[in-house]
Amino acid sequence: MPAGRQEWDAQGRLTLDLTDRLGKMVAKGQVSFSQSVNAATISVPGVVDSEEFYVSCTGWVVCRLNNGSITLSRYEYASVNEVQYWTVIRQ
Amino acid sequence: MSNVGVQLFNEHGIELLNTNDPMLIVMDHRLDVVFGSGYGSILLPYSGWPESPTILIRPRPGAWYGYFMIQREGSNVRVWLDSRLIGVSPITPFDIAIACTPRASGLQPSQGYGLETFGPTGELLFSSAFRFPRIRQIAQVPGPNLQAAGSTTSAAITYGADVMPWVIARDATQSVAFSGGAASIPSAVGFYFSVNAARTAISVRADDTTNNSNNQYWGRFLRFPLCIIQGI
Repeated sequence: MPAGRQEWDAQGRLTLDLTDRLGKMVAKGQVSFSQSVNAATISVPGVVDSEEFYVSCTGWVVCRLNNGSITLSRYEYASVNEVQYWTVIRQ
Repeated sequence: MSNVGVQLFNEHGIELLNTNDPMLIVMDHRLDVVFGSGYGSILLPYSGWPESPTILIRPRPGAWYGYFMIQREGSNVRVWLDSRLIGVSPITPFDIAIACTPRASGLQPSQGYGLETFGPTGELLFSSAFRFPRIRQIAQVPGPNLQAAGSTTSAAITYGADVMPWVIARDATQSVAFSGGAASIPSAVGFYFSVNAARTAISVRADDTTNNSNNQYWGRFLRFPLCIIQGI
């Protein structure tokens, strides 16, 4: 039996379906790199390396999901000495 | 998760929403954005920092987009994107949307019906009066082989897309070596994505070659949430 919720707007258009996923913010923060600090691993309880999560991060920064943490790694030639902002989304 | 509140699940048992985590809603959008030189940027008002927003791109059929990156500029977000792939697809328009939590958006729901959820402190977490990205599928595209020019990988779009999806395109960025932190890259290589006209596949390729030791997706996936945004 289908479970969940369907929503329609005032015009009767389906706006939320039983098979959808929705994005939820589970953590956010900021990080800075330097010439000698290229990467940071940040604890985010509950995160796993799967399609269930993603990281939106500013700058030329690569984000990798671990189990219970994320690792942010900057490109060597970019994003030095700038504050970068990250948000973990569960979907 | 607090032990008081509501959780809703979709028919696959995946949580749709709860009363603890703020949800993504669509704060703003622009249609038919064109960068005259292909690679360019657009500045969108956004005051929700330090929350980093989610950017969605709605591509044109068969066109390629890559080198995605966002930056904070005061109370704005600057989105960089290459909207052409030299020798493969010309400069092509696209649509862009910015999604974030209700608090970061500063928006207030206007209609008096639908679904609203609030957190333990009374913070609005979600309202169906907002536009929001309905994620219909998370396409997982294998990382292309950057040692082979034009190597293209694809994933099927299986949800029956009757309109072009909005794509959370953050994975279509530059190549970089991941293990051991940042690495020297002789020249930047960009990852590009494309959705075919029939909306049955999303593909990935790069604009140049490099060693796969500089390929953060080698043996992994680029993940593209494919979304519907009602009304746009």
